[in-house]
Amino acid sequence: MRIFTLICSLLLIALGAAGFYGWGIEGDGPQTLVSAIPGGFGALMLFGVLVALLLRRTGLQIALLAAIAGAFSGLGRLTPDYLEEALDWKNNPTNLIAAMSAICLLYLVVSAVNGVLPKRARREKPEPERADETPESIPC
Amino acid sequence: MEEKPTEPDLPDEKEKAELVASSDPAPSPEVPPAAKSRPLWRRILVVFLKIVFLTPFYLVVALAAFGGGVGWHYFEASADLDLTEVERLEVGALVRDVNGREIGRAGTMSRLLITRDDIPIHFVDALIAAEDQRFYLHPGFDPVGSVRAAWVNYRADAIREGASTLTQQLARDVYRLAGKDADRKLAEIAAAVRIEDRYTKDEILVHYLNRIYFGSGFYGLGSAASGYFGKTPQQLTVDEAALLCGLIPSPSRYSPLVSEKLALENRDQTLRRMQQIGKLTEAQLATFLATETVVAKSREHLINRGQVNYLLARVERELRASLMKRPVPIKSLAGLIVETSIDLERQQNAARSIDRHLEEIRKKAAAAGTSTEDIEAAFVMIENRTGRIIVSVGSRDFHKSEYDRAIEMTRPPGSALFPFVYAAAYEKGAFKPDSPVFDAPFDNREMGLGSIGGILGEWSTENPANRWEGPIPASQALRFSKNAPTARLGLQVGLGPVRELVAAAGIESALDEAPGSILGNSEVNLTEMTLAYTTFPNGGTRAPLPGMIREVRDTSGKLISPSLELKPDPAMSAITAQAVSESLTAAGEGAKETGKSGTTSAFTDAWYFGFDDDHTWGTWVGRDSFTPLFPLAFGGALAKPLAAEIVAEPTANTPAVPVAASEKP
Repeated sequence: MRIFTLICSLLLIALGAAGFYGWGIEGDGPQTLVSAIPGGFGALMLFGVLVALLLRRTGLQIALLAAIAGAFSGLGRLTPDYLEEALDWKNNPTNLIAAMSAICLLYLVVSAVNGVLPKRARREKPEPERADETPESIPC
Repeated sequence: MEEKPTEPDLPDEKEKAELVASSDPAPSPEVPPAAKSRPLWRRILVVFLKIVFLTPFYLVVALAAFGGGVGWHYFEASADLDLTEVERLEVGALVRDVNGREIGRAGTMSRLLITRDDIPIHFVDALIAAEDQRFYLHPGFDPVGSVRAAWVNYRADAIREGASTLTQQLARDVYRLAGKDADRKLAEIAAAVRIEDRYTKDEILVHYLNRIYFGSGFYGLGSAASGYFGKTPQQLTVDEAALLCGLIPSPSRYSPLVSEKLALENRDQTLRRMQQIGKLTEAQLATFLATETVVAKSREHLINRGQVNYLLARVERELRASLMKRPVPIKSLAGLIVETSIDLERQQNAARSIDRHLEEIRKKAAAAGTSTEDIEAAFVMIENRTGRIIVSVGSRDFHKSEYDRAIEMTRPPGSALFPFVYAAAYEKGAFKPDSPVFDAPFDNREMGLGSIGGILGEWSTENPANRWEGPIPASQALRFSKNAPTARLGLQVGLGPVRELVAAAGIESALDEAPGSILGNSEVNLTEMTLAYTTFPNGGTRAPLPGMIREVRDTSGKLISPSLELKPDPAMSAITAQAVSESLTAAGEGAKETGKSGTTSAFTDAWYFGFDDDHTWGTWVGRDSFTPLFPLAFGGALAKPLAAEIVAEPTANTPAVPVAASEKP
């Protein structure tokens, strides 16, 4: 899960860089920090990965929060355009924000799957003796 | 997934103690992990706590993120705004009357611009107390203020406080973001944040106070201080400042010229808020609450000022419409010079005459036992040759009512439509002025007038003592405004020819396809009726469409004249126009007086239309509520004397409208 989190965070950082540098270059929008927002969520997830090296659950929980924020802020960003029927898929910023939301949503789904399934498995067969160890698959 | 994060990284001290306690005496061979050793109640408690605290936490994060995303959208959209618009107040177009006298500036709302030094500190205190108490703290929008306003309004079950900051109000005004839907509100907040980023608080304050509307035609603090109190902003006292700031939420309603009571209530509320935020002591509050705030408002001053504001607003509308029709539309009025056909002195005299006459009519209404409220009047005078408007008064008092009854209101003209019915009959060839028509009782129901039975013509001569005269010449029936012969003649001619002639004469409001239209039951407006009456002095062809603007020049002096209508097609022959005119001339009391009054069946509307060789004029008297004025309120008794006074008084002093340069060959 930590590796998957790392991959997602790097993807988001790449999106942020594309937004910050790419929009301005292509003239799609101003080169402001706002356009680097996906990178901000990616950085937060990366921070979660680093924390998870020491405190597994805390770190992954930080990444989870970053994913929730990224997914829903992206949806919030696109919703007014959608409601005004002004969503333009040929527009690079729109695609980047949609990609950010998609990555974050994917992360949320994978986290849920990784969290719920092993728990059920644990209920079905006895756990190993050590009580203070968290199974690898539980993200947080 | 949500419940997972509450799993602790490591067991806490209490859990460790429990682990020790549970394993110490007799550890079972299937000793489960720590969680399994917890008592049931504790596991239930943990699950309960997760549900109660963690799920809402994630939901709040998700909602906040969604809201942030929406804000992101609007903030990005506002990046396209031109922030220099904030400081760009249009200089406006200089408007002159027919005698070259300056009326004012159209497009700027006659602002008197101020600087930061012109704003006294107590005015700033009053403004902040009334409108935006956290102005110097927030970044353009004020969540704290919004929550407080929502709470106050909820408790009062009414809108007591607005949530918009001064910067938001400025953004709304600059970028024309009027409206209350969420989309506009969010755009307004985003624009306000951008403005705050660009300008200092003091700059925002100055731009705000130069733009904001203070009611009764006063835009900007300089104009309001001068208009209401005859002072500069620096000379305003605390109570005057509080009164002005109290107007801002609804200036048209709270203007002291509209409602002194509401203006003072809002002044007092502002003073109390100033005391609440520590800008006034208790003693000062008591003193100012007891102070009488005097607004300069002699009746004559108000009427004259109102007419100036009315004319500027109307010229601006006409000018913008005209400039937008150009091949390359002109949006800015800055620096334009507009010569109009309006005679300002005559306009103001007309407004004062209307005010005086309406006072008399109110007395008559009171004597007749009907309401004295909402009685209004309007007057229009048009130049026959060009269609230029010389005078147009749309309401008794523009400060109290900006509704323009000269062009926006439509009412049935009643018997004022008769000349067109006779003209249609003459045009068709079936009748001549000396053709006999039958003046005898006539059933209302034949004209679609009703569910009520009765005899048409009981009030047909605009004379309560009517008598039936049997066969009479058509010209005489028109001269004495006989309803029954006109109804018979109209039915014989048919509604179609009447409608066609009326449309050709310039009445754009289509007459209803009902026989009652022959008797003037369909609604028309005063200006189009006056235009239609120009057909008679013009020999059968109406004047071009009415307008106030003669010529417009741009900043370089180049002529940008509004497009002139080509000469309209004749509505009737010159012979017909002459015949009708003769009937109407005879109806007048004086040798030169030519015109026709009109009255509607329930005495709701009284009209008079008159003309001479140069001008045609129309007058309407009635109620906004469309209820009867009072019994026997005939047009000849109410509208005609009013028109006579307006037309007679200043004629000698008023030159004919000069031909604009653009019209010269």
